[in-house]
Amino acid sequence: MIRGWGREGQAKLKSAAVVVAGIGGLGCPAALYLSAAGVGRIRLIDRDQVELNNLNRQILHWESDLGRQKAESAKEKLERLNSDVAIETIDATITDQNAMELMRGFDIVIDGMDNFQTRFVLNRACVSEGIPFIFGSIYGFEGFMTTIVPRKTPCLACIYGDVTPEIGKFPVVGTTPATIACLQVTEALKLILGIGAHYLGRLLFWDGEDMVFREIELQKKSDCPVCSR
Amino acid sequence: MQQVKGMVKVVVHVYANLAELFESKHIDISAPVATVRELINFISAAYNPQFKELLIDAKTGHVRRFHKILVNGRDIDFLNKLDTGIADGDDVSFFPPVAGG
Repeated sequence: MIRGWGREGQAKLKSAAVVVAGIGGLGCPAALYLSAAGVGRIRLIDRDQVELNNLNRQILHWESDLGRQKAESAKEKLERLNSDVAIETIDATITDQNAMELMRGFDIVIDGMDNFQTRFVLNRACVSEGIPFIFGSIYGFEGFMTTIVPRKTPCLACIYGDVTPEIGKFPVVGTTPATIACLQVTEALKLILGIGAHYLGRLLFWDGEDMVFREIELQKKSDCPVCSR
Repeated sequence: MQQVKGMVKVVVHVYANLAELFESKHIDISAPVATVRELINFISAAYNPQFKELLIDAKTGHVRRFHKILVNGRDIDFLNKLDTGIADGDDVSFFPPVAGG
């Protein structure tokens, strides 16, 4: 028995609502474990269709799904895994205009994006709505993760500024986003259950090539354009 | 053997696209440097000039936004930025931003 979980914890999960923003390398395993854990309501947001080069890591999308909307493809598998979970799909680009509406009423947002521009949109919406945002990003064998709790921890703009860097295509080992996504979901489950110590104010770096974790200390920026207002 | 004045031995770690500039992502360096800025200049001259180009904004002379540079695990943004001191035995890490997902 896991301390603080049990029947009561399972009921908390059942009544929880989580957004998975981006149903790619991070979002697929994240949605899979959220569903398997019994999170009651999961909103999947992705504007893209499944492509062949996605399949090494986006494990909810299979060869037979090529060309399908990613959110729909994921929903079908997740409902077969756990029919008690309400899966919602949104085939849309997340923008400053729609982000707050898309996140409102949800308990947690899990970052499954592949670009900083949309991550900053999510960060602004989550800070505005007071929703915890669990950041993840990857490159090759390497990945980052942190839990952002608005007003309590540094936000994404404190960490990286609030402008878009120019980053092109990235190589990725399929297990890297899976590793980072599992860390993100672990944080999400603990936040919902109210157990354990959350990964706050620190940026976790994982290097799968050397199989090491490193920790980067973070600080709130007093002049942060997003969370210091 | 007499030590050259000002020489320090440091271990440098480079990640993501920065690692592609080098044969290994962990590099042992002996160099006459006293600050992070001097270390970056040394690495660029001795190994690959692209290193500095990727890290430093030529217009402002500052570290490009999004990059994290750590000395012994501490972010130089909260120390003395590029003027943060480097001492013998230090461990210096360069993390470019990674956006994949």
